[in-house]
Formats: sequence, C-alpha cells, structure tokens
Amino acid sequence: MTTQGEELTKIIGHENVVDDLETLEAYAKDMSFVPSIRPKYVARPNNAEEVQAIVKWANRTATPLVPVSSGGPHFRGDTVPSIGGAVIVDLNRMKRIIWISGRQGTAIVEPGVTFGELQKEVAKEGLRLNIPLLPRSSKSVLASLLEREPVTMPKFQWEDGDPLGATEVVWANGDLFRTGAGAVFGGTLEDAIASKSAINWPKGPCATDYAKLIQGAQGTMGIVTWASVRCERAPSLQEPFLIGSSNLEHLSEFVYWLLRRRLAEECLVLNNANIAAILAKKWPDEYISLRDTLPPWVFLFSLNGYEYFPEERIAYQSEDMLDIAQRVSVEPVKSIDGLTAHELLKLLSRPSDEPYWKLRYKGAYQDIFFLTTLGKVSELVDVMYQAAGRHGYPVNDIGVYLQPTVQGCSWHCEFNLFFDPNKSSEVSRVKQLFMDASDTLMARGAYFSRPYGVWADMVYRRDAETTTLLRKVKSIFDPSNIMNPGKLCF
Amino acid sequence: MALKKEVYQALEDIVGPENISEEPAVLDSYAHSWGEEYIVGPDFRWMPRFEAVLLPGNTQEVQAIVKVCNRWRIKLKAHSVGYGPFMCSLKEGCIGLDMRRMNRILEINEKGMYAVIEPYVTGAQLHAELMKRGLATGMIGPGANTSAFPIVPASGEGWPENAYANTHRNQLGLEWVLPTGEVLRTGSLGAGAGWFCSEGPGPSVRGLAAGAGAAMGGVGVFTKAGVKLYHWPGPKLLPVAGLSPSYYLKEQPRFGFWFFTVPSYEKAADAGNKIGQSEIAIILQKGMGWKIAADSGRNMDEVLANFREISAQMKGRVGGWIVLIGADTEKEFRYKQKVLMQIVKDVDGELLPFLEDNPDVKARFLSRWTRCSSCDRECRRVGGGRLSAFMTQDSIDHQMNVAKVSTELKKELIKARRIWDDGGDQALGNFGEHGRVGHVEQIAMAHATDEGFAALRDYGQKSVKLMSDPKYKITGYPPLGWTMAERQLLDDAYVNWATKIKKVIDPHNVSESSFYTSG
Amino acid sequence: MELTRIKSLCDYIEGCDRCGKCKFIPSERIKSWRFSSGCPAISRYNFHIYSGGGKQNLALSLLDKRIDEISDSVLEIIYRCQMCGSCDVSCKYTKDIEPLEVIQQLRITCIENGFLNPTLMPVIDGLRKEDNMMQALKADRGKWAEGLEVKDITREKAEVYYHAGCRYCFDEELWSAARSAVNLLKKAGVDVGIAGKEEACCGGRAYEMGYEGELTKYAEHNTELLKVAGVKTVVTPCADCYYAFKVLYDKIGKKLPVEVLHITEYLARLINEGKLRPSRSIPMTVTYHDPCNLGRKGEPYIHWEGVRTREPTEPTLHVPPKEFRRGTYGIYEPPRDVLRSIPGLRLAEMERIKEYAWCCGAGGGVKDLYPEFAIWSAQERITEAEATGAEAIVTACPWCKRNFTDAISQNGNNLKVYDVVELLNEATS
Repeated sequence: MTTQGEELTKIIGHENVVDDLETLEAYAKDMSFVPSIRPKYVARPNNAEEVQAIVKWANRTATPLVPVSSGGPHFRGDTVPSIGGAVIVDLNRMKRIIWISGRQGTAIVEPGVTFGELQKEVAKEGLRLNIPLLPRSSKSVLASLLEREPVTMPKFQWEDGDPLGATEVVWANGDLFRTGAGAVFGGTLEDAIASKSAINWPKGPCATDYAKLIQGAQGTMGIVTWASVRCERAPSLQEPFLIGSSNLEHLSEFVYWLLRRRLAEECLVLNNANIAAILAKKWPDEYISLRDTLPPWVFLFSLNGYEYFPEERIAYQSEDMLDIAQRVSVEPVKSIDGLTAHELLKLLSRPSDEPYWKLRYKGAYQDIFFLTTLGKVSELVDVMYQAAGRHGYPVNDIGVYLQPTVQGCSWHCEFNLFFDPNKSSEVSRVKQLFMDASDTLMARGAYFSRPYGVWADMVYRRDAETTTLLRKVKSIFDPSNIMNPGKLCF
Repeated sequence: MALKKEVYQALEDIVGPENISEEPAVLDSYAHSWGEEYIVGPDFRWMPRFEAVLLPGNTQEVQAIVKVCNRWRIKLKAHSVGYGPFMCSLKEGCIGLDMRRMNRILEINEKGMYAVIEPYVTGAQLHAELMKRGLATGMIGPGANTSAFPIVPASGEGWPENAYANTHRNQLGLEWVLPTGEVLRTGSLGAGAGWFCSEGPGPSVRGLAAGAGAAMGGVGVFTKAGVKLYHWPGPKLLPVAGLSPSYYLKEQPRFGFWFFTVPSYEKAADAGNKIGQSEIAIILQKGMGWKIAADSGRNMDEVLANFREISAQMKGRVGGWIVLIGADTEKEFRYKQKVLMQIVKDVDGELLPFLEDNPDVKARFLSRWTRCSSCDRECRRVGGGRLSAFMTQDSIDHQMNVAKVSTELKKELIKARRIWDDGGDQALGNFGEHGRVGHVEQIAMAHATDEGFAALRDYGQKSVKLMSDPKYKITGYPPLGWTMAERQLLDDAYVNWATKIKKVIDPHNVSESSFYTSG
Repeated sequence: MELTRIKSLCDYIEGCDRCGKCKFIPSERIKSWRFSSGCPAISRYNFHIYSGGGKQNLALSLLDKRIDEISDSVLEIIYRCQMCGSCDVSCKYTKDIEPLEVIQQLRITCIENGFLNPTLMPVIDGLRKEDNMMQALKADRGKWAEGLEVKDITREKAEVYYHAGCRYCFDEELWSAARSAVNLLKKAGVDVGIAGKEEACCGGRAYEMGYEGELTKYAEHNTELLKVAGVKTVVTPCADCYYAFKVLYDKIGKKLPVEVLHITEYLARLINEGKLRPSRSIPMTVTYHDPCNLGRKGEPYIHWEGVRTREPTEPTLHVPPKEFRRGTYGIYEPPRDVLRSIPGLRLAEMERIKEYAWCCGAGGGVKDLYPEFAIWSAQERITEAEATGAEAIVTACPWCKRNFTDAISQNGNNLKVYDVVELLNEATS
C-alpha cells in the first residue's frame, strides 16, 4: 500500500480501504460506453466525519474522488473515474435510516439505504415512497434523489428536484453544510426533530438553493452524507386502471387532463416492449408473445382514497375521470389481456426483482432519456424510431417509458435500447444509434437535463453561458477540482 | 454623490431621456417604503437615495446598463413592484432599476402548463388572464397587487399555495442578466428547448438565483421567467359585484369560504394536517380574529368593533383556519365540503358565527380570498408599524408551536403597553403543497413613532433569541435573513458561502447586496 | 415653504406603505392585463412618483425637508395628474388614508407658495376677468342658448336652474348637448331657467389646479345667484360643475342651500315619473364612460371633525369615527338608467367602470397644461371602448366628450362620441 493508502487507512481503518485488482476493476467500468479507468483505491467510510476527513485529505493531496452510493451494476458512467489515480468513496456502509416521521411524511437516510430497505420501514409509519420506475435492488435512495430520477407519482412532485428534501453535504472543499430544512437554526437536527420540524423543505437556506447545485452534479460538488425524503401517505383504498392504446396523442391528452385535475397519483406510460420486459419470466418466447399481444401503449394510473370518505373520493374522481376519457376517446379498463391494473400497480410500486428488469432481455441496455413537453412527446418518439431505422435497430425492440413529471409540466421520455454485450455487432449498432439519436433528439428540442457520459459535451456545447457559470460554481465549492473531475463540463 | 456626467449620458443613451431621472424628488420616491421597523440606520424612515433611477424596457437595455455599471463600478439594484424596503439600497452610490416597463405576459401555454412573464406583471393581472383559460398559479402573501414573478424577496409563500405551491417552487426557465452583464437562460431555456424546466443541465444554476428567499438584488437582474401553472376550477370571469370597498362574489357555485377555531394548538395542528392531507383546499391559511375583523370593516373603527365581537365569539379559542375550497363539479365540491365539516367536527372546531350568520360578509371574503386581494388591511390600514417575526418555514406542527410561543412574547409587550393589543395570537400564514409546509408570521403592530418602531425592533430581536434557543422547541429552519436581528445571528457558514458565491459571480460587486450578503 | 396644509395630513401621508394599489384598479375588478391600470399618470410616465403613492412620498419629502422647494420638474410631476381619484379609490379599498386630498393640498401649497405653472396663468387670468375657464369673453357666454326660449333666472324666478358650465357655454361643437338637455327639461314640463351670460364658472377646475380662492369666490357668487333667483334645484350637464356644486362647495363650508343634481339624475327621475317617454328606437351598441367627477368623486362630501387617538395599545382611531369617501356613492346608475330606457340601445360595459373607471384625461388642468397627455389618456379609453364592440362611447360630461372627440380626430377612429342627453333627446323626439 502506498502512502496515500496508509493515510486513508488512518482515517477509516484498514479493512475499509480496498485495493485488490478485482475490486478496482469492478469500479473501473460500468455497463455504459464510457472509457474504463481504474481507480487507485476504494474507500468505504462509515459516517460523515470520516467522509469529511477523506475530502480534506483529498484536497491536501490533490486526489480525485468519485462518490458512489448505490451497489452495482452501474449504467451511466458517472461512477467511473474520468481520470487516473482516483479514489472511489463507496458510501455503502452508511446505511442508517436516521429518522422516519409518519406525521411529517419524512424519512432521513444515509447514502447506502436502498429503496427496498426504506420502503419496508416507512410502511410501518403509514407512508410510501414516491419511487422511480422499478429501481434496481441495489439502488440507493439518496443517489436516485440526487440524480433527479423521475418518479411514478408526478402529482406529488411540485418541482423537478422532488422528493428530495434537506441534505447534509460535505462540500468538495471539506466544509460540512446542511441544505434546506437541514440548516437548523440555533440547534441540532435532534432539536429540530423535537420542535416537530418536518425537515423536508428543500430550499435554501437563505437566498441560495444549495441542493440545486448538488442535484444532477454527479458527485462533482461534494458528498451527501444524509438526505431527507418527502414520503407520501399510504392510501386506504386504491383503484388502478389501465388504458391500452395505439394512439399516443389521445393517450397523452387523457394523461394531461388527469394530471391537470389532480385525479391520478401513480401515473406512467410504458410501451408493450417494456411491459413485456417487466412481466416476462420465460425468455424469449413469453417476452415476444407479451410484446406482440399487448397494445402499443399502456397507461397505468391509480385513483386513491385516504382517511376521509375514501370511497366517495374515488367515486367522484372516477366519474370525472370517465368524463375526460369519453371526451378524448380512450377507455380505462381494469385489465388488458389478462394483466390486471392491480397486478401491474403492485409490481411497479417496488424495486425490480433480480435480475434487474432491463437486463433480462439481452443482458445489457443503453438508455436515452430526456425531458420534453406534452406537445412534443409523439414527435420525439417518432424521431427516435426514425433513428433506429437508420441503424437497423428493430423499432419493436425499443422499450419506451414516458413519465409525466412535476405534475405534468414536463415529460421524461426514456428509450431503452437492449443489446447483447457479447455480440460486437449489436454493441456497435447501439453505440452508433445512441450517438445519432441523442444528437438528433437534442437538435429537435429534447432537453437532456441529466447529461451523463458523452451527453455532457453535446449539452454544454449548446449552452455557453450556463457552462461558464457552472464552472464558476465549481470553482467555489471545489477549488482544488478533486470531486469527480472530468464529468459534466468540469 | 451624483453620477458622473459621462455615466449618466451612457445610461440615458440606453433607455432614453424620459426613462432616467436623477431628480431628487423622483429618487426619494424610491427611498421610502414600509419596513422602517426592519431597518436600523441613522434615519429610520429613509434609505439612501439611488443616484439615478432607470426604467429599462427590455433585456437588451438591462444588459447594456449592467455593462455600463461594470465599466464604471456603479452599483445597481432592480425591483419590480417595490413593495418593501428590499427594493432600496442600504448604501449610497447605487442606481435603481424600476422594472415597471417590463410588464408583459409573453406567453400562456395551456398544454405546457406554464406562462412566461416579465418582472412587473402583477398577480392580479396574471390571474385574470389565466382564469380565462381555466388556469391559475401561486400568489405571494402581500397580495395580488404584487409581482407574479417567481422570484420575489419573500419566501414565495402565499395565499393559494396549498394547491398552487410557493411561487419559488413554480419557477421554470429563467432569463437572467448576470452581474457581469451576460444573459443566462437556465434549464431547458438555455438548451433551446423552451421554458418548461428550470433544472440542469446537470446541477442547476438557478440555485444561485434564489433559495428560501431571494437574493434581493444581489445577483443581477431577472428579466423573464417561466411560471408553472395549475388548474383553475372556477369560471373564466368571477362574478364580482358591489362597489368598493365592499366587493362580493355573487352566487359562486362550487366555491366556499370558511373560518373556524379550535380549543388548543395541538388541535390546530391536527386540523391543518388533516385538511392539507385531504387535498380539499385551494387556500389553507392560518389566521385569527384580527384578520377576519380587518377584512370585514370599512374603516378602522368598524374593524375594532368587529374585532371585539369576533373575539367574544372566539371565546379564547385558538387556531384559526381559513379555508377556501373550489371544485370543478358539484360532486367534488360536496365531497370536499363534507370532508371539511367532518374535520372541523373531529378537532372540536367551531365555525365563526360572525361569518356564518352573515352571508353578505362571507360573500365579501369569498371575493377577496379568491382574488387574493386582501393583504394589508390587517396591518397597515392607517399607518403604523408592523413587524412580522418568527418567520420560519416548516411543518404545520412546528408552526403551531411557533404561534404558541410567539404569542407569549407578544403578550409581554402588550402588557407593557408597547404594542397594540390585538389579543396576542395573530399568527398569520399560508400552508402549501397540501399541508406539507408553511409558515406563520406573528404580526405585531405599533404606532409609527420612535417608541413604536423601537418596540417592534425589540420584538424582532427577542423573537430571534427564542427561535435560536432549543429550550423553546421552535428551533428549525432558519429565517430568511430579512431583519438585521436575524442576519446578525445567522450561522457564519451561510454568510461565508453567500459571500464566496457573490465574489465569483459578481467580481466587480455591481449588484447591490445589502439584503443578500451584507448590510 | 409654508407646508401647514400637508402637515395636517401627515398621518395619512405616513400611512402610505408603497403597496402600489394606487396604480391599478382594485384587484378584484381586474378582468384582463390590458385594462388593469387605473392611474393615467403612472401608466404614461412610469416613475413611481407619478402615482398616488408617489405623491404621498413627495409630500413626505417636503415635510422631512429633503426637498425644500418645488422645482420645475417637481411642479410638472404634481400637475401631470388629472386629479381623477382612481388612486384614491384603489387605495381606500384597503386603507384609511387620503391620497387625493394630499395631492389637492400639494397643489394649493404650490400656488400659495408662488410656484405657478405659466401655462395656466392665462386660464386663471381669464377666469378672474371673464368668469370662465375657456379664455373667452363673458359677454359670449349665453350664445349657446340663443333661440331656446327658456327663462332667464336673473330676470324671472324658476324652480330649477340649469347651469351649463364653461365648456358647454363656449365650445360650439358641443352646444347641441347643452341645448338638448334644456329641451328635455322643457318637454318634461320642468320650470327651468338659465343664467345666460350671467352664468359664472363653478370654480371647480380652478380649485383642482390649486386655486382655492377662486373656488371660494365662485361658491359665494353662485350661492347668491341662486338665492336671488329663488331656485330649489340646480341641475348641470357638466360633471365638473356637479362636483363643484355638490362636493367642493360643501367641503369648504359653503354648501349650496338647494338640491344639486346632474342632468342624468334629473332625467332618470323624469323618466321614472313618466314625464319623459323615450319611444324612438336607436339601434346602436354603446358603452358608457363614467366621468370621474360624477362617479367616484361625485359622492357627497363627508365632514369630519375630531381627533385621532394615539393610545399605545390601539391602532389610530378617529374620534368620532370617520366615514371615508371611497367612491361607493357616486352617480353610476342614473346615466345607465337613462340609456337603458332608450329602445333599441344596447349597453356594453367596458372593463373599467363606475368607481374604477379610467379617466378621460381632461381633468386637473391636464387638458390645458399637457394636451398630449390628455389625448394619450383619452386614446386609452377609446381603445377600451372599442374592445366592447360598441359603435359609440357615451358620457355625461363635456370635458370628457371634448377630449374623446379630440383624440378620435387626432388618431383617426370610427367610434362616435355622444352625451347621454343627446341620445335621450333623439329618443324622445
């Protein structure tokens, strides 16, 4: 072990500094197309003090750090070092659920807590999480929040950063800081809890929205050591519905009104390929059969009731919902081809079973995702299909996930390109399609708000002012440029 | 310190001679606002005059002005409606930008659920245009005559935030003239994809524009913003009738207004949580007898008479909750009303006879609350100072504690005959996002005299001490840093970071930052 | 500078907290972005000082001696204001202060301290010499009534005195309305008389320009005239004169001892009593413009004398309680009633009406001092009228009519301009 390693050992203990080749290789690449660069060490701190000490050490020694919260496999390239000599700060040991309040609808978690772990605990308090679509079992809740992953209940998402609440962060310069309602005035977190604070307001403190500088930053500004999650109450009654359609425009119009009227809670659109990928147990026959039988588009939504007169609530909401459906010519049903709405809702309300659903078809995938508006969804889906056609990628193999976000103000559009990683022709085809489609979509107005890997260059080239300001922000929080350098525009 | 001739000329060349003034009387009209009680300075009534005031008409003019300021190292401070001391500068040597000419609604996109507006569009103007399209958006506490821009000096909390969120949360793409003179467009706007998303790409630079509160001039000038919209269940045009000051809403089906009190702060918290969680209300507002009295009287004498009657009816109960419900269908409205009445029953709540027995009075309240037009009746009707203290932003439970503790402080000052006796608990505020977060201000009022303002400043100082002492169990989310007292007690960490940010994005320190990092 | 007048209003001045309501019509009445403004001055000139609140600030600057004299630019700011009262109504929607009165006293203060507008001096000189605001000869005052065959109250008694007002007397293009009114009264059997060339100015416009002495003088003169003539009712077709007779004279302690009516009030009464029966159809869509001095400013004056308390634990109270004039009791319905009585006529309301109507632009000396501002304000109103789809804008004041007509003539427009009495006259012919 080098001097570096020894210094790290002094901070977090020998057993928590890893440098065996197998482990390092595991962190040197992921399932994306980013180049592989091996880190020097993997450090596994256990608490914020250790994280802070590591960061301060990194500043002293000019060592790049790459924070990682989730377990593998990883897919987006953000956890792979972009530069040699980096130390992976693996936060998986930090698995405390610090606090849950059913009354305040808040959970405070450390980085290593997964969705499955947290869901179980919040359910005891009568809560549920606003989760992304079938996160993998090793996915960190905190990481998902920091990545601004879209969630499946857009009704409860008032801003794009939701449901992230407050955070504790070690800035890249080593300062400890708390954002949002974590910035307790005149006391500790425990004092705030005793004061019945909800500790989930994300803004501030004062005139800067620090959390916004951390979300989407791919670990380039600092390391978050805990985050509060805004949880929702578990309904006492759920009435889910499905709509199968070949007409995305009609479907979108229905979704728009449902969200505008705040009727639906769970609310997402999947194409037949993705539903097949999620449901199929036998490959490839069952998958193909499902895919070919299901309607091209399936919209799942749920009307829910709570404490007060839940049946009456669902009754009037159903009436209004059916009225909207009639106006836009769609037909909400309870099941499609043997698949019930209840079944699908239940399935999508928790993390993915193993293997991760996107890997089941061919063993690998590459996602293209971006944000857009309702008016452009159909158009951009067509753009994607045309790009697929140019590269000979079968359109009916593309998984599509359309998720309204921020109460319908924008839509997350995601295309899942499945491929066999062992077939170089498929790998090559997907790589080329990925680049071409990304470029074309961007040119057609798709907004790549989370610029992973090669997207970063494509995105920041198009927005010089933001790039300049971001670099200035980076210079404030990370003057030594040690935090995940080479990502984004840094 | 007058502007150098060449500087004045450079600025005049940008906006034209009729849009710039250094006439002392004109400058004075930008040197005085409410809030003397917040400001500790040599002259409590007047802030330093701007060296000149300009009326820019578009982003290009703003950009040119900022560049001149950088060249000549002149400070500048922009404001929209200018309702508050934060529009002023605490230091001399600053020019003021009155954004009044930038008052357009540029787009209302119904399918995209956003509007694009300039800084001087007021809440009332925007609401009027949105209602025609079945839409609405947030409105800040000071009311419909203030700016609808989603970055305002306040915390963004306001009337209909229970359904339409805090206005800061409704901010989408932002066009922003940085202190260095570049024009930055945030989020999807900068990417050329439109106004719909404020975040990214990657980390969001909009985080520098505002946080819990706004930078109040410290980070440049905002020139356009996308504002998130919501569904409006009411008519395209509200059937307001009557003559000023007693407008009322004629029979408005599917809209209702209620006020009720409860026996304890704990029940008040329960009530607020239940109403919030049931998602029935557009407005969920904590208010007390004074608020009801203030909006029911034609003048202060009537207000006091009504206040006594209302106080007698309230019988020492607390709370209270003001709830506005609106619905698209009759069934929905009946459901929501039923839920509300059940909740009132569950918390031993009592509706106020003063309103329930007087449908005419209630119809006036319905009109005001639907248009959010009533704000200052309760505090500055006939002059006088007013200080809102204990301004945090947190859960309903937390805020009810704040109401309780702050009432005790006020009662001390009332007993000492230093502030008006408004019964003590007049904690007033709005709760948002279906009861998830909110804010009460414990208002204290006094005469506009040296003694009155001194009493209010004392109240402010003491409030900060109570908030920062864990023993009182109202520690929580820090204040916005409006008052001198608050800023003096802010943790260094926040001040240091704000100062660092300021240095980097405003290297020549042209954006006046008295209310941002110093002062 | 002698500042006693505004010093006595200090409490009210300090009560302005810069909320900005004075710039717009009351929030609850705003129906669109386009027609949301209430104050012509701030709408046109944009600096805060032009608003009602801005002028409170100006008064405070003077009281605090931050400004120690009225410069030319300050004088201009004070006088680029139609004294329309929109700021007053909007402010008093939530507050108990007196913005318009402060502006009025600022003007009187200017005059008393010798800060005069040169452009107004010939107007005032004309008033003093020829008893009119039109810089015309007194001897010509009665020409509008030639051939009318109506009593001259300087020679015979009449129950009702019809006071035409300076604008109607000397603006020949408007004579038809003045004459129409007399014809209607006669048709209804009213015992009406006029003063012809002995009619004198009401003094109201001069007062609004800051010349309080002229108001007093003409109040006394007109009181004497009416006393000698033994009339019981004075009726006028001019909103300015109505405001002077009904409100201002009372304000300065010289309340007329007779009933004061605007012609539209009287005509509405006559229609109601069946003495006038409009039967001829006028198939036209019109919109009605509320003159400021008949509408929001036309409500009776309310005297108050008392003290303002300063108990430490109570807000400032007026003892006895003060009833504020908030525009509630202006004359809004009678002109509308008259229009509604005309067969075939359809009334389409503008967005800004009654107590929150937009000013025609002619008041407060602006027509004389800043004619382009007057026209600008009128054009704004014409645009609003056109937005209703109306073919004509109807008003009840010659100054409004003149200003609208001038604006249409200058800017080119198809909108017609009528006075209420003209349409009623046609409907009863």
